[in-house]
Amino acid sequence: MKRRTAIRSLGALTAGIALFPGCSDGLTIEFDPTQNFTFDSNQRVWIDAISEAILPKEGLSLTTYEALADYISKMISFDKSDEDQGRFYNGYNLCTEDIKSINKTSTSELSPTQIISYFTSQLENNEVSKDETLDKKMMQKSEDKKFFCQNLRRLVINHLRTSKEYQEDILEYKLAPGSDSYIACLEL
Amino acid sequence: MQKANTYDAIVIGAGMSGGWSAKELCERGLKTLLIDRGPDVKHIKDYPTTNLNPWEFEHRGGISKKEKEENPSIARCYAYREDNKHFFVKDKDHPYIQDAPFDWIRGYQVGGKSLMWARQTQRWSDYDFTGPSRDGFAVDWPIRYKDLEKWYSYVERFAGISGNKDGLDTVPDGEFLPAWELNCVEKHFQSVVKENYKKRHVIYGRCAHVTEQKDIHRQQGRGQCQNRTECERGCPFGGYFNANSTTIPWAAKTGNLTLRPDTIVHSLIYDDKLDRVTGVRVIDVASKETSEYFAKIIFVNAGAINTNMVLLNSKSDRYPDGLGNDSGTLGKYVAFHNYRARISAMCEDFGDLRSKGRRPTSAYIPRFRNVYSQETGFLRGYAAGFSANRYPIRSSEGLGQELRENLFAKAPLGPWRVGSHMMGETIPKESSYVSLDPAKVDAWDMPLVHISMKYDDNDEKMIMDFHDQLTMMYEKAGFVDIRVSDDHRAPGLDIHEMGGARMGHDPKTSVLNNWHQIHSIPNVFVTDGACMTSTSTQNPSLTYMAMSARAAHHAVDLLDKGEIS
Repeated sequence: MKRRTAIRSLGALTAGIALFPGCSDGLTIEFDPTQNFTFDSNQRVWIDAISEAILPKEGLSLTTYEALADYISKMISFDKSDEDQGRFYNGYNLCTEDIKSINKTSTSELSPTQIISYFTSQLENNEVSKDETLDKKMMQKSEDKKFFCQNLRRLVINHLRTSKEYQEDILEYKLAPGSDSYIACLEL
Repeated sequence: MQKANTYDAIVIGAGMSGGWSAKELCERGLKTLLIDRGPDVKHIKDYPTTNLNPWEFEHRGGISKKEKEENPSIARCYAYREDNKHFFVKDKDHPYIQDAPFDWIRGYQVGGKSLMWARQTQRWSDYDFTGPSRDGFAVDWPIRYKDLEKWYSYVERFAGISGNKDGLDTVPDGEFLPAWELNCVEKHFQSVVKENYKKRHVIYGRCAHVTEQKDIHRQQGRGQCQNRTECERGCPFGGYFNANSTTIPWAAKTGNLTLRPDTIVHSLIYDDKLDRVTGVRVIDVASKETSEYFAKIIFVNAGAINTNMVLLNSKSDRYPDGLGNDSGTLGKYVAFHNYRARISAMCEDFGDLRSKGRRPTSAYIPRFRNVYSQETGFLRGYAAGFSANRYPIRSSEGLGQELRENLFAKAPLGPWRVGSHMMGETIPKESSYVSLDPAKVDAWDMPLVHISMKYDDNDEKMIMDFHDQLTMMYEKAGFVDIRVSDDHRAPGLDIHEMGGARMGHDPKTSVLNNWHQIHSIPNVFVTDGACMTSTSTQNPSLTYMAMSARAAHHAVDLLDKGEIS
């Protein structure tokens, strides 16, 4: 990378800090691609709140390999290039500030409806690259926000889908279905 | 030291064919050393993921971006996943030189690729063995179906092959266990093809799964297939054939087997006074120490390309260009299977029917082109898979409560989707080769192998014909939304590389005789993919098994008669 990406990411981080001079809630992520990133306790509360708004799991008891916040950071590191990891966490920072700013409140006071409303606007934002009035920096920020929202939504869904309960109860998964389990033709 | 390291037979490679060679030699009473370059894999005990559920995998079955980038060839293999990646060789650990793009898929362990194979097992017929003699490309096979017929039966009974007796001359019937049933759309396609084509057939794909436990499987400790379809992890029931659950423990039970894993064969030792091979030079994988082992009979079953490497690296004054290479063909005339073409479509009928559950195989369309006469502008032909499936369509639209309701809603079944993939014969050419680099070596000082195999005009024509013919067959079946594709994959992903030490009648144009012996060195046998004179269209493993059993018995017969000493 590694060095070049690291420098670019650190640059993005510096810019992030400059953008959010008033950040004091400890939610800003200082992403360093040379380190394995995991959410800290404040960030976990926030990412869990966003995830719960995206896909409410109230009343569900899910058996998974790990907690959702750990899954998200692990899979972003696993699946994405250093550059895209930087984009994801930059998108997280930008979205966090946006949501607070639009709703004029702290993250702890946001309702799921407010979070969904913001995510909907980001996910439906298909005009970013076509808007010639945006300068490159603004365009990049807009794309990073959408990148974060899309990937977070995907991971939240995957985390549920790969839970024991979803696999067994909804997808009817059995590790060893049995020698006579296959039925070639069955009337509906 | 020589006495301590001396056996009756040495088998190089403990995979699909090497397991059979070792089993037969041991059963016939020969003290046999079985060498493999990879670690030992004991049945069940060394299948670390076999009983894991999807939610118990840290990365849910995925491979990391970094690992894919470091191992681009293996990452393209359909079977390479988190749950079985420990059975695959990583490109970066074992480099090779692609003179032309070639994705070399390897499994370096006891059991080899038999742990992760696709388990399709069709016999060859005389239409396959006579292919080269009929069109004059490559040399004539020195064997015919009658030479292998009883050995096919022999290995099928032991391995457990499920299938129907279809009575076809292109893929002869075998000793079958019950087949899985075709579903309604597959049966529909089968009947449409039968009605419209005299010489085309859709049959159940014969495969190496125990669908009915016979006494021989009980003796092996194997049970019936449980439809897990997680075969590439290794099966705790022994439901499919691999060397680890069958041939190798069977050989060990005789008390005649010595297994030496983690050992790379450097070369075969040729004694010019005796005019035969007396043993092998090996390198210990961990310590890199070299040693020698001796035997009267050597079976080379290292896997097609590695077998070529071992023979090419076995140089002497008598054989300066590789062992037994009087013909100059060693390493040449290698070939593979053309898997580039696909077709998919939708079946709008049978909306009131579905299938339920998983099964480890599907339907099969045996080769129908250029079988009885040369009828197209290309040589040889292709077989094809065929499957029909219908899955629930589950929406993941929305956010919040809407998303949750979508994910948990009862999902309606989608339409039947059907598909086929081509398995085409490629023509072995002198320009297709594997060779050793004169300077570059791996971590064990073994020369790196160069691989050069390319598609040619014949392959391109075959792809077009597959698309045309399958489209017509699909249209006759009433399938709609027919889409053809060519993924332009490099050779190698078929994992059916063959040739380089081909069999033939004439020592001037081939390396091996009709019994798989090197023409000029009768105590060296090659019965893996390297021996193949042509590739035909069938998945080759069953044929390697039958060839290995046949050759092993012949070797012991020769030994008993004193014709090998």
